[in-house]
Amino acid sequence: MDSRTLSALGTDLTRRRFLAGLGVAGLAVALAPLAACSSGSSSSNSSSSATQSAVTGTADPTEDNPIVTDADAGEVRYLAEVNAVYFTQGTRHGVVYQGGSNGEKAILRGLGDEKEFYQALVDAGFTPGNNLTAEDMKAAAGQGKSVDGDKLDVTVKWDGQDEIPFVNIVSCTAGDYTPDFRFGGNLESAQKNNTGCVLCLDSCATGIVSDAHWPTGTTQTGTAMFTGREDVLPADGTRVVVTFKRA
Amino acid sequence: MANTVMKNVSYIYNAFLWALAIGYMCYGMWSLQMAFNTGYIFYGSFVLLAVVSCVRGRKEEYGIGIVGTAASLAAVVLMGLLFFGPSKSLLTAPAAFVREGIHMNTLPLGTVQAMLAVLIVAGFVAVAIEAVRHPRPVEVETDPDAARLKKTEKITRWATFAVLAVLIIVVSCVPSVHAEMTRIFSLLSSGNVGTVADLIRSYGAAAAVVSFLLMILQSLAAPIPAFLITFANAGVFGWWQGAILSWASAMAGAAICFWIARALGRDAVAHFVSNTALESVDRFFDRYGKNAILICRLLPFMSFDYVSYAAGLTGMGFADFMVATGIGQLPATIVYSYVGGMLTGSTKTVVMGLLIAFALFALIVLVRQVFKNRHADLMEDDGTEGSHVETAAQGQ
Repeated sequence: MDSRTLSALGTDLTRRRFLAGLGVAGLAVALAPLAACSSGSSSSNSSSSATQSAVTGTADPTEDNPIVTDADAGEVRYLAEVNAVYFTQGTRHGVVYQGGSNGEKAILRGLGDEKEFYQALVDAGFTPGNNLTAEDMKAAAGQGKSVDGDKLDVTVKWDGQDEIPFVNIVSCTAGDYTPDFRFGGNLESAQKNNTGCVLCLDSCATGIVSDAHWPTGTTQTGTAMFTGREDVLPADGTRVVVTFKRA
Repeated sequence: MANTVMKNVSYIYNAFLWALAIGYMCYGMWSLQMAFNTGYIFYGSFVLLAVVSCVRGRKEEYGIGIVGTAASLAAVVLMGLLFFGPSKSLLTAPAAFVREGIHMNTLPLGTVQAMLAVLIVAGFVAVAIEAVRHPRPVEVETDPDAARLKKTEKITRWATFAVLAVLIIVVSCVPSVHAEMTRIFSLLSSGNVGTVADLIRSYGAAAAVVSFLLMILQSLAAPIPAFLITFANAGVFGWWQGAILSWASAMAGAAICFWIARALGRDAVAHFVSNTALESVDRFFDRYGKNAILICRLLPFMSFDYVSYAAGLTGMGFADFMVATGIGQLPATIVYSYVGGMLTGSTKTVVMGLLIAFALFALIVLVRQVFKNRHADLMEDDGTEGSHVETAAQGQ
């Protein structure tokens, strides 16, 4: 065996083979996100089709039916899970569908497609605002626009915790947190950008629901930043139900 | 040989640590974190650095030793502290981007943190055991001058690392300093000249010193345009006093960036780039470095901090760098100081256009010089060949 041969693994392994193996392993690691990405999209498809099959009723949402519309009561219930990363990090995302490009950037990781969620709100009788554009998102501090649309009352519950206002699970760097959630709409932008944004914590041209209290540009300019409340929310990965009803 | 396996383990482990440091940096930039899956950057950097390290190190007998690995580990911790401070995020951030990069959202954050901790500890222990079992022989430099130079370089490198480490620890871990730095960064990030001017004024008699330090700070790390401070200086101290202060502080910032890159980065770059490539870059900077720096400094949209760091990585002389920097930044400093605050709309466009035209003119001169030099080389070769032919003919 020459000096270029490795025998530590029990077999003769040339340096070239070792490097080739390293390259293959590297490629596997590099391609893993893509594979996971495609599997993520297939899971999103399956969840979407599941949502389409059962979207009405009074029961709580499940993994198979993550969005439940109760048209009579005028409310939509949406399944999500806690993302503990944003207990300590600032974010502008309250709830984002896990299949969207911003799926991992929110306090709550949504399990239902945001476009389905839009339709569910329409089916429940809400009217979207559709007043914001991508240009509005570039607003300087103090010059942003607020989202329009039907006013929504948003609550959260999980096993062992009755419904509490969404305001209770979020802390804001700019003092008192008094959200004014609106059905912003933005279906066209949601379809175009596929960010997965369900509920944004400041006014947004893509989020289906966003907060009119904070105009566009609020987080980008550092005016306010939001984190999930570790002292209120359950542990990372816990399933929660977010309910949207007329305020 | 087991030794070869362990050598590659040391490269891969260090690549993992460097990728973690890069991941911390990217995840720590809020706008990048919000807009992109920074886990891709982590995994991409890891694979790239590991492959390049193993390929480049295939002729080496030893891998990265315990000291180098400890420095890599320290760099990870310092990068984490710089971007997240001594908070819980220091532990959650790497787990977050590692998990996000492979879309393993269902893996609990705590599990990912534990896996990372095991990897970090196990890798370090493996490198340490290998360093004890197969210690690298001490190289004895016979030439006393070369030995002295080597020692000085080593001291400079570690001193720079230590100073940066102390600065980062103080800024991140001392609450009052951290709060003040956060306030300053948020005011600088506002992009508002008036806000920056108010910030400088608020320090009263020490305003000039604070402005000087702010300019150095923005040179080192802050992604904030220098002209913001130049505008503010003109507003606070008057145009020519402000111009002198801005010019001098920008020179100091450029010099510090240059020396940091020279002390810490040159060896790292040499590790990844072939000697031939490094030598050819050095040759280019030797010949045209001054002009290149001059042009970069004239371009108003170019971040000069990166240029200073890049120049430090090459073999360019410090004096040449400073001369080019000093001359290159004069026009913009004077223009910004004199009329900067008043520039709006079309006037601003015209002035920017003039500066870009000036820079393009300098670029054309540089390209012409490069072409002439290359052409001269060819002519010289032709002449040599011709003389060989003549000599051969005479011989016959």
